[in-house]
Amino acid sequence: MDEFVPLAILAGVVLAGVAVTVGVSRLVRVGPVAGDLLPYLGGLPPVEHAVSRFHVRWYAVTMVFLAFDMEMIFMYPWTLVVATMGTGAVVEMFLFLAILLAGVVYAWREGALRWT
Amino acid sequence: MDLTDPLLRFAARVPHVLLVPVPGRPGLRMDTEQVVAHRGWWEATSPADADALLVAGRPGPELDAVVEHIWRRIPAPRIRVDLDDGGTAADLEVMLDSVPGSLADPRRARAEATAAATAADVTDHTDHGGGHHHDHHMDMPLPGGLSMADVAEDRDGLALDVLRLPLGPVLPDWPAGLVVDVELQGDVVTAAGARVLDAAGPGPAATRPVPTAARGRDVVARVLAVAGWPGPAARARDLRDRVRAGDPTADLAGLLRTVRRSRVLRLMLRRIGDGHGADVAGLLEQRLARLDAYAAGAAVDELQRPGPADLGARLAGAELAAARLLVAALDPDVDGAVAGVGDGQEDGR
Repeated sequence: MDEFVPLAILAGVVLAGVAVTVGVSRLVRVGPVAGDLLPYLGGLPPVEHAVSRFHVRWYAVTMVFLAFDMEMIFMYPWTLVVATMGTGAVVEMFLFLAILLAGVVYAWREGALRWT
Repeated sequence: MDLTDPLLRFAARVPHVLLVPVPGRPGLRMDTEQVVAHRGWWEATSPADADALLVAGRPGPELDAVVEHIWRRIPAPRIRVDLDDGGTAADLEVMLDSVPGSLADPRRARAEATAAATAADVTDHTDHGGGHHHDHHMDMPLPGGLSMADVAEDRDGLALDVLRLPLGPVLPDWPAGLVVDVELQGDVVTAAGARVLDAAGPGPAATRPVPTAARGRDVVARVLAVAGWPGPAARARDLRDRVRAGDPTADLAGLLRTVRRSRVLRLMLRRIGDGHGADVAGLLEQRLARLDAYAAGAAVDELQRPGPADLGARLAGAELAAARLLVAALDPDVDGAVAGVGDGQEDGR
């Protein structure tokens, strides 16, 4: 049970910080907050709701990032043990990286990383 | 609460001023920018950031509606300063002297806060009243009552939402009174139509035109500011003010050297092109070369500024940030659009 004590302390500090910030702002402000305002676009009211998707190039880059993110997850524990495990571990990790890199080169040549 | 007064006084020492320039009054805009910069005050980027609203000139009806829209969104403590058309720098100094005092007054701040809160409830419902009519098939009420964007094919043939956005007249480093109605897919502008507010009404009375050298420095300052390099942008504005004050031999060479030597700026502006073959780096270099030639005494003719109708076609296909840089670099002729119809009434309107 006392593994959770630091967590509880952290949660308490966070809640106290938020309470102090909100409390001070309410004490110090000069009047009620004007709510219900539409976003500012430069002076004219918005015509449509701005919930819309991003251009597809962002999603392609996100997929490539995700692939390398999963590879990073494997590399973190590998860095801790590679010194004791020797050359074999290094070769295996670089083979893994080479396979991922082949995938990136394929995507590049297929035009998935085109920006404009 | 006693905490409020010293905080208000502290905040009022450096007010954030939101400048609303009026088309047809470039000299007045430059005067206001100079005065605000000399006092060490901050130019606000949006109403949420502003303490004082400064309208540089008398706005026409459309721009007046925009100013009201903005004024509603400025949080208390706030103050509004309206400059008349014939205002000079001296008038401006007098009006701005009273601003910190008014901002630090707690009673006035509370009155403004209540006024702002109640005004927002009443008038915001008229902004999007049209949105309720045409979404019969929508079951879920969207926030603000606005409808969602329609879907169309984008430049790669994929179906993507088309968002219609009015890039309005009061944006940082934006031409006065210019509204660009863009259709955005993702962050790419697929179509744009530019117009100047109050172009159909009687224009302002003619004023002394701004000297070419000052205007050139002003455009360079704008491009640098939009590109995100505030140091040289401020230097260019300072040079502009010195030229207007009659001292053209100020340190132009140093600024030109700094700007031309920067690889990062060149890489950033390099391939942002409009449809006519010019790119922003080329346009900037053209402006710098003209400043050089002017300073060396060669006769330089007036650069042809594109009108608002031409601007829309040039922005199609650019990303939103690239479109912003193009608008700053192309320097559309907003003053001409307003003055063209305005040879009827002068003042007394």
